[in-house]
Amino acid sequence: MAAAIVSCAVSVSCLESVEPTPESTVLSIQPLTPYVRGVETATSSRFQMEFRIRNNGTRPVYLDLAYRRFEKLVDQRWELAAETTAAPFTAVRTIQPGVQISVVFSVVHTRGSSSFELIEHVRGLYRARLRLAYNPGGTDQVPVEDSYSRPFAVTE
Amino acid sequence: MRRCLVVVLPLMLVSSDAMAQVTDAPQRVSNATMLVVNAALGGFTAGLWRAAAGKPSWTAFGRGAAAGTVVFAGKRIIGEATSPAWWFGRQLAAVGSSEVANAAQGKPFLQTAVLPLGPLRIHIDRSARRKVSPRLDLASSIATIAVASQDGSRFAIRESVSTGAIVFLVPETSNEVGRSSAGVVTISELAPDGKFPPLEGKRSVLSHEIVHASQYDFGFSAWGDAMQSALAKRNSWGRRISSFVDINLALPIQLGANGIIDYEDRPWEREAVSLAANGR
Repeated sequence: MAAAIVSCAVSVSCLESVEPTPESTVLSIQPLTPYVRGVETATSSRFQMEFRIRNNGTRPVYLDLAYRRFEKLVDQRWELAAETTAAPFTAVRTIQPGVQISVVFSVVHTRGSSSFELIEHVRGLYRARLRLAYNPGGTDQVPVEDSYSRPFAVTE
Repeated sequence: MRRCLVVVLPLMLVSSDAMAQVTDAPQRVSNATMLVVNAALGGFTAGLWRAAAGKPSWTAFGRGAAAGTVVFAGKRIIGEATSPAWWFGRQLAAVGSSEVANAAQGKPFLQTAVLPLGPLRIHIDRSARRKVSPRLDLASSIATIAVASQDGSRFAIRESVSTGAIVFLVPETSNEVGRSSAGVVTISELAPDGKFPPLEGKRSVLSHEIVHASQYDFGFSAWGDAMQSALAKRNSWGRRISSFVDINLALPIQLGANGIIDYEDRPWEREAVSLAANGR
């Protein structure tokens, strides 16, 4: 009985780790800095981050410039914080093999609106998910696990 | 309802916070300074009680000071930020706090001890007929109900089992990432379990708050329990209540201290910040 209680306690006594972010071999999506300062005003909250995207593969990759999705860590799990709804691959940028580019993505949340409530209090740990494809039209997309950035912090 | 508020509001005010903003954080102090302060606090507490009883106080001061170093050792272990460290550190500090009370009352070495376990306090008295008696900590129980009824708050079983304290996860709406109210801990659900500077990691926040819980234990054992025992001896109702319930009568002192000292200047915040930083 005592052994069962102890083993039960041990099994739940480990704190849950941060949900892992997939590692990509084809693309490297790195935030320029480990953290940025977010802004919270009476009407909005926002932040922006510059990413360096490197194509480590052998084929050109096309980045959908109109799309970005940010996920925020809540109780060690990644939850959707913001996502654009523009038509896919209307504006693209080519990343040739072995080439690194920089892009700046920003997120703005208007207070009181129903979307992106997780960003209302801007501080936290985030990761970005971009949309990339092997053709300009976006029909041959790279696997989802290759499209995540490394996590970065947003402070106040 | 009004009576309930009268009890709950002071509990909320007496709580200690771990704030996210580094610029506002209390300055760290060295381990040596904290050791000396804890020893002095143990010594003066024991010495004052003995002096108030009209007994020689120097021996009590020495015993209390030695016990104060044990309290510090426990809190230092809490700063290591692992589950065994949180458990062992808090219990070791509680034994040290109990020994301060023993010295204060002129009792033999480790005759009594009070160990915290969630909302309970396990009273051990080697000379009593009933050697082990669990009692409900009234302040912790009220704090638990108050926190549990907050919007978005949820009981964190992993964190509670890991630390031995009652822990709740709460939504983060300000720069406050943690809070300890009468030994009941709340922690922001945004705190990551890992190193993502400048965000404060979950383990660091938990260590900070468990140090506060340990400080609460000291106030309880060295001051509150002794005051309750003294009152219970004079009143039959007090004796009956004291068999089952602990009322931390030192709480108003802690409340007053929090009310008159700014967050950054509070010595207990500086200690918690410094000890939690040890485990990073």
